[in-house]
Amino acid sequence: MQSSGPLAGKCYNLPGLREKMFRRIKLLELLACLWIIGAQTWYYAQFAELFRSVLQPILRGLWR
Amino acid sequence: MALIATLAALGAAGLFCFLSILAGHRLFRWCALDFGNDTEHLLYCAALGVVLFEAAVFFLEAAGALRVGIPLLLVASAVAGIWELPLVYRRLALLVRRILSGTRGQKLLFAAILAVLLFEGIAAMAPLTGSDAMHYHFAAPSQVLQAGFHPDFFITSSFLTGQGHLLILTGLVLGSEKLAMGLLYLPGLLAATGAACLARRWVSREWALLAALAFLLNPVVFWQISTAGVPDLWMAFFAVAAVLLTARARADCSPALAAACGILAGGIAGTKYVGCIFAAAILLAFAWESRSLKRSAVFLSGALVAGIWPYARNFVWTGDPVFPFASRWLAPSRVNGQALASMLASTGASGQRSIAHLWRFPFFAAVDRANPGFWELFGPFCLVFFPLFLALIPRTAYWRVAVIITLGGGLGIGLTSGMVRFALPVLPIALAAAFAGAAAVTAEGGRIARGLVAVTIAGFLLFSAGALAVYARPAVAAAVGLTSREDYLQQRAPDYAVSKFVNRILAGKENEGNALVFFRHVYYLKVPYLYGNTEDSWAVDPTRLATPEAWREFFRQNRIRWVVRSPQYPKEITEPLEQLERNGELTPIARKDVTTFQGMRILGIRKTLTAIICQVND
Repeated sequence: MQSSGPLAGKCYNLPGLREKMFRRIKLLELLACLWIIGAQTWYYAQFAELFRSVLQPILRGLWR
Repeated sequence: MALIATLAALGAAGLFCFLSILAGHRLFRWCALDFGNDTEHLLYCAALGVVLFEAAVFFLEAAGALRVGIPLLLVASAVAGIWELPLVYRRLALLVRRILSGTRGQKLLFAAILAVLLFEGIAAMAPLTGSDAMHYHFAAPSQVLQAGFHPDFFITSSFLTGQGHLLILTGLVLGSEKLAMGLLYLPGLLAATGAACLARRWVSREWALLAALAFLLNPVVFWQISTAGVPDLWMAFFAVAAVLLTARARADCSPALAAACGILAGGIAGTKYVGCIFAAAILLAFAWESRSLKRSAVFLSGALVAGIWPYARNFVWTGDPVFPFASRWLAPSRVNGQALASMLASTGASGQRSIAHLWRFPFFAAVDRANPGFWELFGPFCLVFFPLFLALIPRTAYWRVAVIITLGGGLGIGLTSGMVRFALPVLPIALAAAFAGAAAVTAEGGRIARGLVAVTIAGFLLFSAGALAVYARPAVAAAVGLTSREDYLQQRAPDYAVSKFVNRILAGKENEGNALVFFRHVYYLKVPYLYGNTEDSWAVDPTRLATPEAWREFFRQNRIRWVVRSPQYPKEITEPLEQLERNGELTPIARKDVTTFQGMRILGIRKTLTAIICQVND
């Protein structure tokens, strides 16, 4: 039973709640990670052709 | 010698900034406005001082009193602000003390920012080679100096010049192209400071400094701050200052604050046509925060007083305040269809729009797949982290204002122009927000999320630093004297060789008449010229100039004595001009093989073409 705070007077299974919260945070983090990787990949893919056209002559020059 | 000139010009730009701060400080004190935070207060002072300086220079330009007026205006700013020296000095000293008392990490970041700023500042002092700058950003003010304040229908883009171009004019009036470039470098520095101040509202000082560094290393920013020679970064600075100021509108109900916000919005609108979109977004944010029609009206008045002047000029000259874009409706009889179509295409105004493409603009992720360029490479930060900012950061006044202006400005650009680089004015705001989002993920996420954020940021910053070094190295070499001005211009400036050829042949004949040229980059022409390429010359309308007789009359009306083709005439007007050549009315008097760039300058592919100067025989 919570004795003070916003949850006062209510009974909670704290270890279970913590586990649920932990899972939720893990899920959010997983989503955030997927977003960071996916968005970046999509972003850079748009410039792939440009990078190729600029870098290829430079690299070819260095190779020679 | 070159190094001394470079440092002197940078110093002069710094002095101009200081004078603007003094003048702005005085005005804010008159209005009894003090914002507590020293860095922010100094930024507002600089912004207000510059916007009002631009408005004053506009009147000097219209009155034909630039050469006397600008030095007097600078002296007047110094005199008006001299009493502010102790107060401004105290604020600056506090700022420096705060930087010096920072943690080791903060000092390292600050040193990195200073190093990048110094490198970019030196690069900015190289001779002008930016393509658009050589076509009109610098060429149009230079023409004003030579021929006075008048409409130039030969360079249609000259009507696109706004109040930011008056700073270029200021530098040229004071006899220094380097100073003009310095005055375009200045807003980059100020916008980066603004981005740090805004980010500081949400995150620690380290993250705020990182946002400023990311702004300065952004490829589009380092292009604009160093070699481009365009005034767009002034809009970015005014926009971020406007966000910081507008966010105070709910707590501070004074009309002076509303007027100050309006003046900043006017400064943005007065810089360029697309600035109106950002000014409208700021008005929306201000109205939302202030919830007051009366203060919104004060805002609007301030904006009009500060930024209406280029529109008024164009209206008086052409009947179209946004010439040539509204000419179809306001003056249809005078429309040059070809030049208008070309202008609409080059500014993206005629592009296709779809919801699937539009959402990318506020996130700086709209890339033209058919023709991708480095001018669209804003990096992944805004796309990746701005949504996290929207989701994770508490909805304070700063959050609301930043979101309204970034989304409003970005979507507005997507709707009207379709070119993501025109969204540059909201970049410091979006980056500050994006880094707040990244900081929130770092603070709340686990090891993997933190690692991904670090890799994302470090990866793009390292790439950008390398790109800056490669891109700006030739400019830095020219600015410090390792490469001569002549060699640098031969290697980097498009159409420089043909300009030099025309200058040499027509030297001493300036009084005989004008040269009609068709090559785009006219800034280095030293003889009186008229630009005649049908793609961007309103005066050269192929439908009206379809016969040799029409051309004879055109030559007479515009005092055209020479025609320079390199190597061909524009195809729409080839026939009548070649007929004049066959008739002996256009006689070749000189020819030379010159080299110029083919396609994008960054690819370094050059081609040789023959430039021919023909004399018009009466």
